[in-house]
Amino acid sequence: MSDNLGIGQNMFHRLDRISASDLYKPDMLHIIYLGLFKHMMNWIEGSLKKHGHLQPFEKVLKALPPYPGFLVPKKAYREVTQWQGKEMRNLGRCILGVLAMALGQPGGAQAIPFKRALGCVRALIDFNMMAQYRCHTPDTIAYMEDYLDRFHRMNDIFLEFQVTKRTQAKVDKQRKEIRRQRSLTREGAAASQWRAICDDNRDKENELRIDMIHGESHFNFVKMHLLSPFCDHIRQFGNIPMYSTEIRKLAYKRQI
Amino acid sequence: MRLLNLESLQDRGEGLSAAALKHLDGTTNTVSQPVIRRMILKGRRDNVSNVNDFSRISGVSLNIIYRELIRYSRHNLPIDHPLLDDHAILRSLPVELLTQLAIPVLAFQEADVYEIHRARSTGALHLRNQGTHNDWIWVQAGTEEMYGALRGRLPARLVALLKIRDYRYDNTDTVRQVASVQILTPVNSGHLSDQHGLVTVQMREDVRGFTIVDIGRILSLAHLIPEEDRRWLVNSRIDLRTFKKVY
Repeated sequence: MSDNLGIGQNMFHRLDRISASDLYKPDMLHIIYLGLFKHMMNWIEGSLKKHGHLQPFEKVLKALPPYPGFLVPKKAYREVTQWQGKEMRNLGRCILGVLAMALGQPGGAQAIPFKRALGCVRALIDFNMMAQYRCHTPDTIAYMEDYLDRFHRMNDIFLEFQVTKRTQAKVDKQRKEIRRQRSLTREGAAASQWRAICDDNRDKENELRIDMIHGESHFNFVKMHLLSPFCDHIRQFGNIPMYSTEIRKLAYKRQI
Repeated sequence: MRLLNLESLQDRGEGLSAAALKHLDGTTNTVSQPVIRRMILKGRRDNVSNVNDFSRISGVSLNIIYRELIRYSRHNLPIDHPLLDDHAILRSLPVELLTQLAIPVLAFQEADVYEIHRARSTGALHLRNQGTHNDWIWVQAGTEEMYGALRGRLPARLVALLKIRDYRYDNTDTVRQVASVQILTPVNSGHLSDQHGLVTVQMREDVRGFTIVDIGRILSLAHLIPEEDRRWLVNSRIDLRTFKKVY
């Protein structure tokens, strides 16, 4: 990890037997459950809305059978306003099957994007599953690296749903500008002519919006990079759950 | 200080008395034997005392029950202690119907920690006024090489849990603990789907809807996501154990 991060001088610098880069510990709760799973669910929600599959998704999610240690969601996905770590972990245990069911058997133009979306979700879920192992072998670590690599290669399918506030502001500004220019051409145009101009402009507006989102959006955010040291950390210090803050969160509760 | 065990002391050529060796032999073995847990049947229903009663309650015809019992006997019981083909004798055997099976399942990457899976089968009765409850279970149906990614295991619906008392041998009662299940068939020979990486299973019309298996062949609960009529997706990401077994 020290090779990847340029850690400058800080309070740990020059202390004996302390490597500042090794002080960072991967945390399943905040990086995976409350970090990437939350992002992933936003991407999935956007994708399902776009293709009109949100209703089947919620239907399948509500109809899940019980299982030991698995909490069946009682509310529809959209009704939940704030997700806890354990709820996200729970969702991680069923999301692949539920999404596969909601997307169904797509045909034609939808087949490839759906396959990529499922592939991306599958890679992240599999990485999460293996990160929970308490014993590792070189094979399991190699699998984890492979899943992570696959996730990074396939996540571009969700790029249009990874819109930052800044990008959204730019998109809004662009749309206002297009509408302003269109309103200038209205004078003297007949109603039918005006309708044709509006239709034409709407298509152009959508194209520009997609172009801008694709150009401006990226997956270059902190939580995305925090998955990279997981495998090195396992090689150096052992399993990940041992360091997860989930255990410390239990201390908030009264222990019986 | 480094603790030495019996082997390391012997390697170093220590001259130990026979009494000391015996004592050390009893105390140096720090690896405890794994505790073997047993399955427990619970929730006996009073209104079933023989095969006739079970047929009446479950709605399965007597002929099918006899046929399955005989098939179970041929495949699972010792040759000298079979259930006889005689329907009159089968009808006379005392039967208990139970509603719950506690299955001890070894926790993932642990040697002596067990999770208890409670498989319920209420038949046509409602559980806590919330409809019938017949859980999905994993049944060992073949060898590791069979059924693709499922590796010899098949998901099944638990239909009933039975204890059949066989009083005809050795002057002692032999109790057979069996489960009647509806075993599902894997689609595409149990291979993972290219699209989502999960296995699809289905309930075929032509396959027996009522099979009797020994409860020892029940491995754990299964988690299936309903796909469409009579088809399900096997959720292999539900826990680490299933994730490791189904791939």
